[in-house]
Amino acid sequence: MSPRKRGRRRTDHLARYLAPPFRFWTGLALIPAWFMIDLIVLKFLLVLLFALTAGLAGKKIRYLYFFFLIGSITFFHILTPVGKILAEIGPFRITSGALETGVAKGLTLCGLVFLSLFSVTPALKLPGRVGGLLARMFYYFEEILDGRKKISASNFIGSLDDVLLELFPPGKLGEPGEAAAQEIRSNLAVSVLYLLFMGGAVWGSLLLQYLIV
Amino acid sequence: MFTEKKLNRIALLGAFSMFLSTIEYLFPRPIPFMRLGLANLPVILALELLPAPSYFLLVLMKVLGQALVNGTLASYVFLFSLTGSFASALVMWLCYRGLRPRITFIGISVMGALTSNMAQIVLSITFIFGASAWRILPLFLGIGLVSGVFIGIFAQRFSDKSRWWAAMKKEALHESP
Repeated sequence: MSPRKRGRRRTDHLARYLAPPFRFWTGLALIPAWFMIDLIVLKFLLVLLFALTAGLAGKKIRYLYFFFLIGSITFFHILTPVGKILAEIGPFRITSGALETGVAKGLTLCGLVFLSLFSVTPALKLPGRVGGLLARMFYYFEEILDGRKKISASNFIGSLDDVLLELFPPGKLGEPGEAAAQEIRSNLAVSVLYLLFMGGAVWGSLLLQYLIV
Repeated sequence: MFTEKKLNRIALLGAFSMFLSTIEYLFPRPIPFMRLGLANLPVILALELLPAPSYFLLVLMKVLGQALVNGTLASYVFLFSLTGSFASALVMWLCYRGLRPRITFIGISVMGALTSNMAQIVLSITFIFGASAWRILPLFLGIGLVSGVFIGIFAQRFSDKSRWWAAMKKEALHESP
């Protein structure tokens, strides 16, 4: 799939300069530090950075969904009181420990999703036979996407059946061949800057946390 | 074990699953965690077509493909998807092999959806929400039941009506020893 994805998908600006494996390994290198950061302020700022980077990667972020996710995780943690009581709402006691744990856990998960969103692209080639099979699957996926305009909501099964019969007549399944080849672009200077910036932001925040606490 | 034709079928069904996943993305979600699970349709249909090793390879391809397209491969979402998909695939496969023809696609789909939701609830209780999350179990199972029935009906209709699927099955039957 090209950096400019088909249809309604957004442009992946990072794909112009960074190779998919580089993005993936950089993302993985950030994860250990991300888990070790406990300070909620630092975590929140990094979540914002990750969300911004995911936006640059062409990923649409449903902020309401993640707001709800953090809210629900916090809510369920509040049900088990830990630490100083901050407020009482009816039978519920909102405690500092439970509140902090819930918010921190929610931010950790959101950040992890955002990090994954900008680190993983469909152009990432996994090694071995599984990687080969995935490439074949993406080839077929592109073929089906090409035929999607012929699919109507009113006759969904019938129109989908027509498209599948036309694209993949049983017994004549096409081989991926050259069409599956993807253009990979990479810029060394931007790659080094990206690594230094993201690594510095996340691992630097961890270092800062140890200096503060 | 995996001939070229089998690998092609697995790749095609995996692609079909990814396509349905993009279709589902267009539907609004009444509840943030709720999803129909349209992408499971090829997995349910594949019960009729693929032997066990190919079937579970398809499930792996579906999960990996969705994780690559959605960019969730390096997040907890992948772990949830992997666990839920394999647990439900195993239960659906056992139901199909053990209870067919006394069970329809609707029953198989409901079993799969409930198993997937149960597996994901256990994971979320362990890693995310804590023990209090048992309270949402009825809601999640209710959602699983509704989506399972819907996908099961859809799978049954597709299996009955689709000429493409009928031809695929016929071809696979001719290859069987």
